[in-house]
Amino acid sequence: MSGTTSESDMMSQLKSTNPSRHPQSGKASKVVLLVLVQVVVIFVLVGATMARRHEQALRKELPPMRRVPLTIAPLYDRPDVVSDEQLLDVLHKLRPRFRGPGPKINHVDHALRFWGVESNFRDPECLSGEEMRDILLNHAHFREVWGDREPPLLECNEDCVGVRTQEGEATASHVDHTIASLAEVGTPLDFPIHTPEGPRTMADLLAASLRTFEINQVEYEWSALAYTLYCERLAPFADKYGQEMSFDRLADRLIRERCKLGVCLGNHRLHTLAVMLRADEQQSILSPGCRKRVVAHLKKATGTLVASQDPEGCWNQYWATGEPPRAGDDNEQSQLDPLGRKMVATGHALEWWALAPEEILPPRDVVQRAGQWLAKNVMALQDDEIVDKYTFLSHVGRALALWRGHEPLDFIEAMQARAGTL
Amino acid sequence: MATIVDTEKEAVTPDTLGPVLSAAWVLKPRHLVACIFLGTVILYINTLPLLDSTIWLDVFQGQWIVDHGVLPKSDPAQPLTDGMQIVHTNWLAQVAYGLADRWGGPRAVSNLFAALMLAYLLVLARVFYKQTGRVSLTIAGLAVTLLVGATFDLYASAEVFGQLCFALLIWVLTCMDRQTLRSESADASAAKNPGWRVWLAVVALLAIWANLHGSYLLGIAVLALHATAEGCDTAWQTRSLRATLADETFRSRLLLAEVALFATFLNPYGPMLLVENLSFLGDERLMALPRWLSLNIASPRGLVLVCSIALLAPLIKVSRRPVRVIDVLLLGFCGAAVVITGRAQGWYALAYAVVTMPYVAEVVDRLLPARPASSVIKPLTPRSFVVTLLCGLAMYCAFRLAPASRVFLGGNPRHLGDLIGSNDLMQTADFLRTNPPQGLVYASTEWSDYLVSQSGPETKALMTSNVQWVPHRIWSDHRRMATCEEGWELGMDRYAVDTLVLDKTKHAGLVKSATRSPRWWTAYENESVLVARRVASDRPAGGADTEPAGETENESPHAEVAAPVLKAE
Repeated sequence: MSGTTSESDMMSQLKSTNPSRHPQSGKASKVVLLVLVQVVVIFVLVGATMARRHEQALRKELPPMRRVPLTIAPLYDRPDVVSDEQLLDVLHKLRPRFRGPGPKINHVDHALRFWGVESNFRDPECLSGEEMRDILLNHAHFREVWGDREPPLLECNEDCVGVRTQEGEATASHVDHTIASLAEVGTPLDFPIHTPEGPRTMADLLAASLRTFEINQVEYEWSALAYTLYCERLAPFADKYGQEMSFDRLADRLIRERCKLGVCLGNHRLHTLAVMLRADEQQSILSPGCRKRVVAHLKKATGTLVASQDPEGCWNQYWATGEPPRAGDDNEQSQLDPLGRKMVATGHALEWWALAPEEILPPRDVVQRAGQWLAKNVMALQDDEIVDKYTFLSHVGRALALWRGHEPLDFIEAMQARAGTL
Repeated sequence: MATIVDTEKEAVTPDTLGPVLSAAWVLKPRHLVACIFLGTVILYINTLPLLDSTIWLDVFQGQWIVDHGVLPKSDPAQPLTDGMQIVHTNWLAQVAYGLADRWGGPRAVSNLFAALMLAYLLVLARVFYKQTGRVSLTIAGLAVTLLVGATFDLYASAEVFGQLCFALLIWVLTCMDRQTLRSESADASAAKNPGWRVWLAVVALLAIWANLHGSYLLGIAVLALHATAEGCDTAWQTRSLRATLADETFRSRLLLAEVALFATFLNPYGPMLLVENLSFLGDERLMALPRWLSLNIASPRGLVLVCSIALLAPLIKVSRRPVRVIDVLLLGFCGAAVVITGRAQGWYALAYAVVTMPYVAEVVDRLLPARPASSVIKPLTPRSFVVTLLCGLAMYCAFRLAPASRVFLGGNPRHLGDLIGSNDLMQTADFLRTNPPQGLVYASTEWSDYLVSQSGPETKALMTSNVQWVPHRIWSDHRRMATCEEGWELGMDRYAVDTLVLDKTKHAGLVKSATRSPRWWTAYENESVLVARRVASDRPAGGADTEPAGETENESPHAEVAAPVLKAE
């Protein structure tokens, strides 16, 4: 059989060797050679293992960050959306009157991003911007307002510091909301924070967020926003499950779910995408293909919003259906009353549009009607309602100011300067 | 008008009626038994459904590689793996399956698998024949291999390429091994230093194997075990490390193992492939798959292992063949591997048969000595070839009845439902091909494997059997969603799943929930499969029954998701 023949050939190649025919020195050199080969093999195997470890270590190395976060300035000034007088009235109504024991942390961090660190109010009931930041980043101040019985807001372990989240009023309402708010108000990475365990910096807070982040986590909108403002790039840093991060991947994650899903009726995802586009203009962070996908997604969302706007100018919880509100929508049971739901939908939409590039904006009258509806309805709110709805009213106030081309505090200062000039 | 030509009849002589074939073709009844056995096994394999769904993933990946000319950086079947580190441990086998599918569809894939199995069995037969020198024991060896590996061997996947390589390696090693050669006379000194052909064969085999399947690690291990056994033997005899190191046989075996190791670096990932393959062993996601589960002694797999060891003890006691170090090492290694993961069972079966057959042969030789060849050569007659003809008939029948023959001989092609083992799944794939999903498809990993391969390019899965590439959270959520734990719908939302392909038996809870939920509608249904699609509008049809997710900043909008179900990590 052919197999037998080939095997016989093979066998004929097997050489017989008589060790006694070789001199002793030959044997020794072969032994040395054998040992050398073993060294090479071990070297290669160890080298491969080390190379893999090195590669994995690289993926765990934090991405390069900028000390001062990017600033995303408003692009438009539209008095038809909200007049100077209307805006001043709205901003006055939405001043942060949270002095006293136990201010809700989600009120504090919303008010901080609304008013900024430099804000100071004549109203003694109001917290200044620095006070608000101090409550968030200085445990001593937090303890002053919340007392000893409340666990610290800043959680610490050996090399990690985080913000306690979704554990009650003395904690942040959303994952990384506080970090994102601090980024939006320009907190530098070397800004000191005071934890119960000792001093840290803002960089430690961001690093802890990055190390515990995973692309598929439930809440990711604010993490993505903070990383966009602080990080120069993300790759090859990998999340905690080994998935390499990049701004493209974050953007795709933000696009992935259906429009209505996510916090505040899905608007924070759109907000972060708009900020990403603006950051990309400053320091290219998105690939051209991904930028196109983001623009297309935001345009689609704009189209849906245009189609679903109420004739009065607002949207409700069903904006993502692309149909205007129906009569029965207001009768639905919810945590929020119908007006509150409309404020959430309308205020957030106007806020991210104010930061979005022009190609994404809706027709002028859409924004105008929305702005007027907001201004009118905020002015009609009672003080207790404002406290109840402060978190999303802060978005309304900021949105209206942004449509006048300013952050809220800047707008007031600009008004004061103009009044002084006049 | 026809004419009758009166031709002159040639004179019939004994020479003209004599056989044309040589005496080598005079087969015996034992050969007939061997032919019937092999024919039956191959017929059986070729008519079995392709039970291991991963073959469809291999087809899908192979076609992608052929289309793009590069290895994919992320898994095109599972978009959510984008950014994960992906290592293609069997890309060459995938290309082979991909090309087969392109050439002749799933039937060609099945035929390729059958051909590989046939090659595997033939190589094994050669090994056993060389070990035992008896056709009957060759068949016994094959039977032992198939029986001990019965819960494993007949799976169809890239593994069959690895099994074939493993058998080839054993064949080469058997050729080198002077103690196991019985069918031909072996020069005792020949095994000391393998010739260049052996070196070349081993190097080429391992280099190809490393690209075909991750099981090449077993090949390296077997070579290393052979070197170790040789070293142990020498060390035992000489009681000297220096003498052991100077022993030429030991040296050549060790170098052969090491050269083979370096040959495996000829792959797209170089030495890193080795490290990546080793890391699979500790992967929680893989180890949770049924095929990877560690040994349960009460399971059929456990019983097979116990019985095989129980039979080995009396065999060794009865046999006068000395127990060799390599036999102990090989069985110990493969036995330990089976305990760690069920995937090693096929390899254990092969090692078991290769180790035990020489002992069996020794016993049989003693009890039933082979009859000496008759010095009187019987004259060949046409009747001498009756068994040969029957052997041919048996092989032809097996070939003709096997679905693979229809490619060459014509006939109705094998029904696709029989081939994949489920008509319902095949029809579901047809439905998805004509009604492509908008988002991801949720299905069991086995079904996902088939659907991504056979339902058109738009079908992408949340998770396939390539679980080792999936982020941990998706893997754990997929498992929880399968049991319809609270929050499953929000999980589907989060992963943008738009189509559920549910097994009415395995996913009974999900089927019930999906058919009751206003957010899903039944798009397709047959006896065992239900396909549910997401309702287009987010507005509840019947009025205010739901609250939109995430409308307020005061409390978590994902309170439902944050239930223990999908927030475990």
